[in-house]
Amino acid sequence: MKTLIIFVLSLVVSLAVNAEQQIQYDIRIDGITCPFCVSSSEKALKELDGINTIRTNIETGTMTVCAEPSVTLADQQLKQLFLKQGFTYRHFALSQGCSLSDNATLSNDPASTDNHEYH
Amino acid sequence: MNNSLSPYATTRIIKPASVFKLGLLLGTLLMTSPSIAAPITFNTALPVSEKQYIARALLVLDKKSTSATSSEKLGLTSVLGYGVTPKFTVFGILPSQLAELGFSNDNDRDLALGDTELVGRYEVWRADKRGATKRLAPFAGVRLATGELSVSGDGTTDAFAGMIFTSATSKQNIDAQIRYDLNGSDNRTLQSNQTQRFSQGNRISVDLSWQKRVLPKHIDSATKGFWFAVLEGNLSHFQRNTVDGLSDDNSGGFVASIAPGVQYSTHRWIGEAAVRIPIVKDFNGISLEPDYTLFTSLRIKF
Repeated sequence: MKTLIIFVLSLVVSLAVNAEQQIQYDIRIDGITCPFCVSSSEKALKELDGINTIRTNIETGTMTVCAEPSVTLADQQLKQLFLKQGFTYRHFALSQGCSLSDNATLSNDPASTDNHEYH
Repeated sequence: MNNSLSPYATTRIIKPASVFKLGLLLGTLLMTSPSIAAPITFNTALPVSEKQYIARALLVLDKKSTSATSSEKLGLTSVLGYGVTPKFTVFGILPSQLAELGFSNDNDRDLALGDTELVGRYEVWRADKRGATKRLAPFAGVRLATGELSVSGDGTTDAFAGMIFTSATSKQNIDAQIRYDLNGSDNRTLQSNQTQRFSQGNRISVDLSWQKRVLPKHIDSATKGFWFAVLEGNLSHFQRNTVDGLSDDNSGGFVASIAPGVQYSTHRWIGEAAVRIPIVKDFNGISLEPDYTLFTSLRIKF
């Protein structure tokens, strides 16, 4: 039992550390209206090196992308990427850590993030 | 030209009901292109991403009748769409007849390929907002006479063009389409081994579709799929066919129909079903008139 507890705690700590080592892009896209619309955009983003997790909120038009710290996305790059999918890229916000529910143990404290919005 | 003079009155090959039925069936089915949360019985202006394929398999049961006879056709329409650019999409549409029941004195018919359609659609205008978009896309195409005459094809090479407008949000979509089919002519042996010039009447149609998201009520990033209630309407006017320049009294007419349906849209696929029911029918002479059409389809992207 003790071993199991240690294992689980280690896993949680490991995930948390890993999550804190990630960065998060919150990307605003206009024109997406249903799940079928976004899959190609998610697929195109996943093909970029260092992208770990993507979650899309259609109502807010936001794609949340968790990535390795080395990943650098640029406005022009995202504009072209979403243009090819038939949608309109607006801007992104970059923060430290990953808030996606897959990583529920991760830090989601806004105060811990370095949040910038790029237009 | 009265009925007794009509070469169709006794000629199985191009019986007007058959031509009409095929025209209606093809006209309504062949533009059922695959796309996003979209109309079930016609096209949409929503985009297909660049270098992306969308495939659709559409199973259709089409029932028509007169006071004397009836016909049920089971067909499968296969559609492949490809995004050449974010604005330009091409579609290849191949209908096939799986079975035909109760037509004339013939027994059930076997599999027959239909007339192949090649369509190009180009987005000329769009306005994107957060969770919403409006798009306008003209389209044009040809229908090749690859089908079996009077069974699964109309025997002529036809052209068509139209315009689609789509307004979509995460809560509902509205699509509107106007389409004109310019049907072709060919020489046929109609009666007494005489070769005559047959021209199928042109068609103009207007379609409307409203897709309302019913589930889930609230969406977030964990939402896997949407359920839509769908209501579609169609107005179609068919010109009369002509033979050697004389109009055929047993062809042409008007139909207005509605099509309630349901649709489920996920990230990778869309499943849907609808039934189209005519509410106003006004066809000339002796023609098979539509009773109902059942649609079930699956669309996937890859």
